[in-house]
Amino acid sequence: MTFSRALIPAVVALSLLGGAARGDETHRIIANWLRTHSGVQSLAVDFSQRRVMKTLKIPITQQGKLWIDYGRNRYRWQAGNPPQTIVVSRGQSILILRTPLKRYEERRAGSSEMPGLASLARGFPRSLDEFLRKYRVLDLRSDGPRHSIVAQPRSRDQRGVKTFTFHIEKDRYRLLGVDVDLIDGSSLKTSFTRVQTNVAMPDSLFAPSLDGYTETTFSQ
Amino acid sequence: MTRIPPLIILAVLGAIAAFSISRIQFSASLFEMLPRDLPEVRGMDWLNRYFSRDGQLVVTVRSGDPFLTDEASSSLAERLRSERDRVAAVHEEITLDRLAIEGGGLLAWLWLNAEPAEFTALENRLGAPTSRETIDASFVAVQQGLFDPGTLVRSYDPLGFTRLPGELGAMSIGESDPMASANGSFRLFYVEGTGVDFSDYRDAGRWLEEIRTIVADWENTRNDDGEEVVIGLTGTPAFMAEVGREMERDMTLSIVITMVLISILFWIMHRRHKPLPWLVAAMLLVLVLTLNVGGWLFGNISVMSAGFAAILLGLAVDYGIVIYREAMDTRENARELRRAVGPGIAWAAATTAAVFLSLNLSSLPGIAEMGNLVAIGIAIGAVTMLWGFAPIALELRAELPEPRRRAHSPSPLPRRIAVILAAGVPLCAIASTLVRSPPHLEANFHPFRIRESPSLVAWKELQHELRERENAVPLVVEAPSPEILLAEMEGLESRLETASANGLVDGASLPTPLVPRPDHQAANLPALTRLLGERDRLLTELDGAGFSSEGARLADTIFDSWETYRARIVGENGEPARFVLPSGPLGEWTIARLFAEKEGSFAALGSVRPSDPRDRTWVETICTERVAAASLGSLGAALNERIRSDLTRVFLPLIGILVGMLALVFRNWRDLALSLGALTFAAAVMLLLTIWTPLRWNSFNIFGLPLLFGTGLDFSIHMIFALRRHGGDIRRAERGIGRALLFCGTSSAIGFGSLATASAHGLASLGVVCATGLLVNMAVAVWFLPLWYQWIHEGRWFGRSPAR
Repeated sequence: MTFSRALIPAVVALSLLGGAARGDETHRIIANWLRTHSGVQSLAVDFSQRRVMKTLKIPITQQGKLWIDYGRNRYRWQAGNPPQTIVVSRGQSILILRTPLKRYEERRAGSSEMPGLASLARGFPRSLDEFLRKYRVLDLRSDGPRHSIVAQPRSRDQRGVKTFTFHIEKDRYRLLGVDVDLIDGSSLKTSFTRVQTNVAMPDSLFAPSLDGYTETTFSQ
Repeated sequence: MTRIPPLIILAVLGAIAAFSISRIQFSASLFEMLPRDLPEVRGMDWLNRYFSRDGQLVVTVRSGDPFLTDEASSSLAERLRSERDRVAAVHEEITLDRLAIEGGGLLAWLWLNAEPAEFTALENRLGAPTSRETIDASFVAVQQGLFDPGTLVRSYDPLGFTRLPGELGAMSIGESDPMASANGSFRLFYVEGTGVDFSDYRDAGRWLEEIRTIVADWENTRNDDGEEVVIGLTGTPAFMAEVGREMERDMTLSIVITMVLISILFWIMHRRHKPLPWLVAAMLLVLVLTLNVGGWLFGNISVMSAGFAAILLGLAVDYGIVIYREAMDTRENARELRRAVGPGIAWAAATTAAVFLSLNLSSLPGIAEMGNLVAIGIAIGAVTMLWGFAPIALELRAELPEPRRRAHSPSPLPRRIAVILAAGVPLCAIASTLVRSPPHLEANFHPFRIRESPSLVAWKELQHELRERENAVPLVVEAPSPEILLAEMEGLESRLETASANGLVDGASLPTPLVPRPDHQAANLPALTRLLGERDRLLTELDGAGFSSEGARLADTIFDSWETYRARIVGENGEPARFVLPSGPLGEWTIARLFAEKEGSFAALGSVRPSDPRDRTWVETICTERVAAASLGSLGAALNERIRSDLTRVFLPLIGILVGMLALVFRNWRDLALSLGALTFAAAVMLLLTIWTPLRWNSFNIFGLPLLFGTGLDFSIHMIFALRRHGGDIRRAERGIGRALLFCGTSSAIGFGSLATASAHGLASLGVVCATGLLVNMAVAVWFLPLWYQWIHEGRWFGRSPAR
């Protein structure tokens, strides 16, 4: 009886310690992952996406590209091949082009209505502190060659999102992909097929031609 | 008679009283006591009648993290929803995505109620081949965008029903009643209870405790990584439970303290307790008779009038004390006793009743009703005591041994001082009003506000966090038909614009798009019927474009709702409806917050933010017969104005009646002057106290004035009659009537003084003012009036006090 009584607090203490240790491990992994971007001035990412929407009958798969110019705080995201949608940051505004429709919309930077991975790119953290300010870590899973960090966004702008899951390569702490689960059960799984760092980013990449395009508002 | 155990009498009378009270129709509406021509009073009455949220608890959620607040709010709402034995429904903020998923009935109605031109535009957009383009564009948007609420909405609304026209397209439906702070760190939602009678504060209190337990359990089981989430419970059920519980505690404590102290006092003064139960029995009888006669004559009696009448029935008990004291002074039989004290009691009752009847001149309906009840009660009380209690008092006296004559303690004052003070104190009072500001009613006084109330703290936080609500005053528009209602709202919008241009208001919000439009609904019916015919085609197109049944659900629900509305309007299952309201829980709840129909009248609820709530200019600018503002801030100012005008209209005739009655009573100018002088002196003392001490008048304790006036009058009449009876012998008068008045005044002061510890501000202030005033009246009648009587009748200036 005495031994059992002594055991219980020990088990509780170990659980708490274990929990704390796990939290530290998660932060270490995140820090290591984000550190891989230190010194990186630009990123060019090829990705493939699979969207499973409750409101659509079949999943949608598409390819895309993302360019992030950290030095000049600009990015370009496009989906489809040839590109169906292009999103470019232009300082105080965001330009969205729907190429098949030949229409474009200019939105205020910081607007909640940011399509696709662009919203993630807009505010991608560069440090652990910044990450923890933007996301609340829920869980760390380790599966084969990768870690999966499950987090909730803290921004009210992303309240339709239930969780983000960041998949990190175990050995080199590279971001392998991001899964987004929405509150209605829909999901978006993005895998990065190629990641290039410090590539040249010509200005023309962030200034697409609007010849032949009509300005509109895509929410209408 | 006194052989019957008094407890049996008490039990019987108590049972009769309880039965009588249960049969009487009490009106609990406080607003019926206030002048109906004041827009503020009408506004609060209409707000209570049409938009009362008696059964809706407000749950507030606050944290430092907007997402955490959002998540905690949703989680707690879900938990409460699962408690089906206690919670009927939980209503959260209506967001566009929620509207898209759950709002089919509401959206269908909003389109049906829209301008015919807008509905025609919808019909064109959904016509072939435009509908296909709309659906394809939605598909592309869903395919490409994912992180924004707009895309989520689009995925559930590919046909674009959520792109509402006109004002609704520009504003959020929740704008007129926001449920989240601007930065998202504070949110609220409403909980509707079930299995509880919210009109019973005890039941509401029990239910509230159960909700608190559920919230505590939810807090213990959630994982918040140590981040604090603060939950508050407020709203009408919380206030009712707290106010009711505190008032019950206050009343119980007050009654117990009062009973104990009065028993001790009675023992000290009379060295026995036996008369007390008989006095209480007599009081119960007077109460029963008064309420029954009042109910028969007036129909509904307001709770406030009944309460004050019950308090004023203390005057009737005082008659019993006077009779008892006089009976101790060797009265042979009841007839002789009545002959001795009857005139004094009868004239006191008649004078007081006449004074209270003159309150019918007041513009405050509640005051007039209270005055009538008090007059009836005083008359019944006098008769009951003289013919009912007098014989009992003699029997009780007969059981006593020959009383010991205690040495009489003379008045503590020399006559000279008393005479000087008679003039000096009123002069000081007049001078004080010139030196300092005269007493006035406290503005912003909330009589039923409970001290240290958790629900009030939560309410204040809510008002502060939701900035649109801070200083927001509810505006209610009432009309006999929706058409007139809309016309009134148009006129109100115009007046609000003018008021805003003149700096009287900072902003306003009206629910015009959410008021049913019978003309629009009738005009849109043909187009709606045509669209119903396109239903299968549109759903096929959605399916063909790749949308699942989930993606088509909103459209399906809208078509179902349109079918229901169409059937109601054309009268397929009964009488054709002039107009329809939205179906579905979300639709019904949304509209019920802002539009109501009751007993053939229609009302809409908006809000306005006045620049200076207490300045009534904005009220006079925007309110009409059909538009009222439920503004507590300006109500105080309005009532103050009304009471001031009443002072002239009521006070002067009241003085005239009083002088006339007293002249009839005394038939002697000296005694008339004495009685008036005693009242004036007591009023001057109270004036000095309210100017130079923290004692203050407010809109609640001002209703104690009639009580103080009545007791002052009664005490002076009793004392003067006693002095007359005893040929000016102060010692004999004070031994008899003086001791009676000492007991009456002190016991009443104890009763009111025990309210000073009440948790409700109003009750506490009433207790303090009335206790103070009663002690002043008693001191004047017992220690000053006999000396003035001697001086005025003997004509001696600066004579000595009577010999011991």
